[in-house]
Order: sequence, then C-alpha cells, then structure tokens
Amino acid sequence: MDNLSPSPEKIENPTTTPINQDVLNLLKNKGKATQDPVVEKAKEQLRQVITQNKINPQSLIQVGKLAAQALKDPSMYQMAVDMAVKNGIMTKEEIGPGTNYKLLGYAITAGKLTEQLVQEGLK
Amino acid sequence: MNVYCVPVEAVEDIWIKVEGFFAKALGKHDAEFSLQDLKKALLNNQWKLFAFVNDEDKLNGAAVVSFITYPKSYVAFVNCIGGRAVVNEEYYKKFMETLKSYGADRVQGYVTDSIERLYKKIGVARKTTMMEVKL
Repeated sequence: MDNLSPSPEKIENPTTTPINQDVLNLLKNKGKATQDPVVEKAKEQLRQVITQNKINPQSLIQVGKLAAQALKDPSMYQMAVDMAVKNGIMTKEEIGPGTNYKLLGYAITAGKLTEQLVQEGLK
Repeated sequence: MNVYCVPVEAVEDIWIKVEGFFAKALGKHDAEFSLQDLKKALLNNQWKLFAFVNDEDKLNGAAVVSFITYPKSYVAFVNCIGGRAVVNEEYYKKFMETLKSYGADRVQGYVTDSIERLYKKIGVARKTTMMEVKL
C-alpha cells in the first residue's frame, strides 16, 4: 500500500512538498468533515447514487423543494411525483397510490443533501 | 500534522504534488488502475483524495480512498497511499479519525508483505489474504 519501487523517471517524488497558500487555506477550511459522520455517510452514498444513475442533481433539488411544498399544500404532491418520475428518480410503482409521507421525507432530505453536494463540487 | 480530505476543486493543484507519491506506490504493482485512472476518479468525485500535511504545512504524502457501502458496514477502502513516513502512529491516528468523521466504520486496503510488517508495528491486523486468477 505504500512506496514499493522506484518512481518512473519523469516523476519526481520529493520528501515533502510545499503547498500553495490558497490551496492550503482551502484544505484547512474545507478539508474536514463538518457534519455528523452519519450525515457525511448519507451524503457520500447519495453522491454515488446520483453519479451511477446519472441523475441531474438540480432535478433532485427541485423535487426536494416540491416535496417540501407538498407537505404544506397537498395539491403540490402530484407535481412532485410527476417531476420525480419524469427525471427517472422514482417509478410510479415505487411511489404507490395516495400520499406517501415517508417518501416526501426522503425527497426533502435528499434535496437538502444534494444542495450541499453541489456546493461541494458535484456537477 | 494533519490529514485533510482534498475538495474536488483543489484536486488539480494537489495532484501535481502527490502524483510522484502514487507513482512510486503503484510502481511495479500489477494494479487494477493506472496513475491517470486515479486522477480521473478523483476529478469525477468518485474517489476521494486525502492529503497528509506536516506541521510545516508541507505535504508528506497522500491517499486515494473509495467509500463502499455493504449491508453491515461502510468501508473506507484505501486504493493507494504513498509518501514519506506516512505509516507512523501519528499520521495513522489522524487518518483514521478523518475517515471515521466521514462515516466509515472500517478501513481496508491491500498491502504487500513488507508493508504489512510496517502496519503491524502500529497495530493494524491482517484480515485476510487476497487470491487472484486472471481470466
């Protein structure tokens, strides 16, 4: 897992390497987990789902916002469902009939976490 | 000394400084990935880069980690680690703390016999032996 053999000729491997001050500041400001490990884990798992299933993060954020509105205004529920289905986030069968409050909770959480992932560089 | 998770926007800047560490670590290994594959996975945010920074704010080494979800565990798998004196108790402790803070409940990685001896000295136990057949 560590150094095992000489480097290829063209790539040097100095003992220590200075870091540009801007990059160092970035590391110190953004290089540590800022939330509970459970949240960090959930974010990483969500990021993998988004990447592997080629989900547009913006549509997930939008579905999350619609789900939050649907909690206050039930007439928005169908709009949130339609958007989730249209963007391939869920199928109608998975959502089922009636108002699925558990799903609304998931959608709101996923939307919020996706917003954070986008701020952290997810495209 | 500290271990930082490199934000994706800083990967390009840090990569120039750490690719030598990884080149040496990959060296003669018959690895499943190349140096370029590592970089691509980091820029695509699939794997994460961790930088080992000493007390003088200089890079001592780096590691590439992928997080794997299993039914009963969330593993931080160390795909590649390289640098100078990164296998020591202080860095080890900081690295484990950092990985734990990202939700991992286990840390795993493959090592050769010589590196295993180094890790054993700081209390890391062998879990299994990996066998391989090329098809």
